[in-house]
Amino acid sequence: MRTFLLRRLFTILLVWLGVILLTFMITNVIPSDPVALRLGPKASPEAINFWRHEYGLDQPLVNQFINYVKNLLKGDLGLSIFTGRSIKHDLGLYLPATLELAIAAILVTILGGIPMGVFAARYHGGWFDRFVMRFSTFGLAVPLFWLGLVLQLFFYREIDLLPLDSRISLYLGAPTHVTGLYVLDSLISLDGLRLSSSINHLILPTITLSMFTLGSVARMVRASTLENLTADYTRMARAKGATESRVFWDHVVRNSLLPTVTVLGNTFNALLAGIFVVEVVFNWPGIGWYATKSILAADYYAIMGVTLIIAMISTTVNLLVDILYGILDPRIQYS
Amino acid sequence: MKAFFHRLLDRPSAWIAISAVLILLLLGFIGTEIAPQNPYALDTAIRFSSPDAQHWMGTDNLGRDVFSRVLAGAGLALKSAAVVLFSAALIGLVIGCLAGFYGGVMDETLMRASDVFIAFPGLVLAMAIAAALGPSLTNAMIAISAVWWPSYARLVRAEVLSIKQRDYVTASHAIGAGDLYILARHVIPNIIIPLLVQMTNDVGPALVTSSSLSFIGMGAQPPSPEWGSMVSQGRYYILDYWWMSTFPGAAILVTVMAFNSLGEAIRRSYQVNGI
Repeated sequence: MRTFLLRRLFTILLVWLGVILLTFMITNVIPSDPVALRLGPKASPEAINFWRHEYGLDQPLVNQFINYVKNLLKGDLGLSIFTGRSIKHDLGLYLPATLELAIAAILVTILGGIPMGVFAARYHGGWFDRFVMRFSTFGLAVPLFWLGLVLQLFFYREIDLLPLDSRISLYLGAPTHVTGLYVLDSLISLDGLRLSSSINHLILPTITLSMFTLGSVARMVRASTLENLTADYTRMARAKGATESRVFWDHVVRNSLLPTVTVLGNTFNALLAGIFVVEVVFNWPGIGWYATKSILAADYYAIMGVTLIIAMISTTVNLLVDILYGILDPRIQYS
Repeated sequence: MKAFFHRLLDRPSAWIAISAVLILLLLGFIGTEIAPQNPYALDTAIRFSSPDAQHWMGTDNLGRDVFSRVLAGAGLALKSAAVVLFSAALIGLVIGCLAGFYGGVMDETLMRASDVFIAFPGLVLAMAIAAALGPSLTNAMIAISAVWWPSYARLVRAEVLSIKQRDYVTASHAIGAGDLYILARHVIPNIIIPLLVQMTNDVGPALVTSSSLSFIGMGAQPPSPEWGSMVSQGRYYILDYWWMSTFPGAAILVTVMAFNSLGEAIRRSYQVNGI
C-alpha cells in the first residue's frame, strides 16, 4: 500500500507538471496581446511596453515558464489582467461558490443515484425500473445549459416558486463570512432568513448540475446490482436458505456499490465540466463563471489559474477514489 | 458480423434508435433545403412571433424563423460531431498504435502525455484551447478533437497489446513482415470495429460539448444557426419569449438521445457477440 501511494503521488506530480506546461503552452499561443487589450486602444506604446515588462511578457518563453513555476511554488498565481487583483485572491473569492454548488450536486448524486439504481434493480422490470432508465436516458442526453434555462422558465416564470439566479437575494446580501459557503455560513450564524434564501437559490443549479451524474450513477449501480444478482455467491446464499431480502441487501447491494466508487471519479470530472455552463446560466459567481469572463477578456494568467485548480482538484479526487477503493475492497492488491 | 446485425435488429429499441438516427442524418443533409424559410432572412416586422401555423417554432429577436434555423442547424451539429470524432480517432489510432506496438519509452511517454490531457475535465481544456485559438466553430472542433484523442489512444493501445500477442502476428513476423505491414494488415483491421463502436457512443457527448462551447461563446458565432449558439442568444429573452432557446435546445436533446440509444444498442449486441 505504501509503495502504491508513493508511486501514485509521484505520477500525480508528473501530471501536474504536464498540466502546468500544457496550460502555459495553450495560453501562449493566444494571438491577442492581453496588455494591449487591458489598456485599451488609446494606450501609448510606452505604456504597453512598460506593462509588458512589468508582467514579464517581454522575456523568452522558457524564462516566463520558469518564473511561472517558481511563483506557483510560492503559491503566487500572478495578477489577473482582467480584475487587476492577484489570481490567488480572485480564486479565494470565487472558489467557495463553486464548492458549495459542487458539494450539493455530489450529495444529490450519491444520495439520489445510489438508491435509484438499487431499487430499480430490486424491482427489475417494474415501473420504478422503467422510470429510472428513462430518467437516466434523459439525464445523459440533456445539455445542462438548456436544462437550466427550462427550469428557470418553469420554476421562476411560470409558477414563481424559486429565484431566477445568483446565490442569495440581493436585498439580504451575504451572510457573515466564515467559510464562504452561504448555506453553511447562515447556519453557523443562525440566520434563518439568509439560510432559506441561500437554500432556495441553490436548488435549481444543483438539480441542473447533478442531472448528468445522477443518470450515470443510477445506471451504473443498477447494472452492477443486476450483475451481482446472478453471481455464484448469490446463488450460494440462496441455496443456503437465506431470505431474498437478506441476499439482496447483505450480499448483492454491498458488492454492487464497490464499482460505483470508481465511477464517482469520472462522475466528478463530468460535474466539474458542467459547472462552467451551469454557473453561466445561473449567474453563479464561482470559478467557472470567473473563467468564462477571463477567457473573453484574454486574461491568460487567470485562465491558467482556473484550469490548474480544476485539474488539480480532479487528479486529487481521482487519487482519493483509488485509495478509497482499496480500503473498501480488501480483495484489491496494489503492486 | 452477420450475427451481430441479427442481434442488433432483434431489438425493437434498436429499430427506433436506427430510424431516429437515419432521419437525423437525412435532416442533416437536406435540412437547409427543406426549411420553409431562409434561416438567415431578417424580418424585424415579425420579430418575437410566438409559434403558430406559419412559424412552427416562432421567430427570434431578428424575425428569423426558428424552425428553419433548427433544421439548418442539424447539418452543422452532425458535421461538427463527425469532424471531431474522426480527427480524434485518427490521432488516437496513430498514438495508440505507436504506444502499444513499440512499447517501452515510447509507450510510457505517450501514455503519460495522455494522462495530462485526461486530468482535465474535457470541456475545461477545450475551452482554454478554443479561447487561445479565437472563438469560431472550426476552432472549437479543433479544441474538442485535441481533448478527445486520449480516450481513443487508450482504447487502441489496449487492443494493439492483445492483438500483438496473437499467433498470426508472430507468424507474420517470422516470415519477415515489416512493422508497417503488420500494423496495416493485421493490427488496424482488428481495431476498426471497436473504434467505430466507441465513436458511435461518443457522438452524443461530442455534440453536447461542442454546443456547450458555442453556448459559452467559444464556438459558433451568430448568425450561425448552431443550436448551442441559438440557445445562448435566446437566453436574454427567455422570460418573455420562451421559444427562442427552448426549441434549439430540445433539438440537441433529441439528437443526443437518438445517438446514445443507437450507441447502447450497438454496444450491447457487440458485447454479447464478441466479434
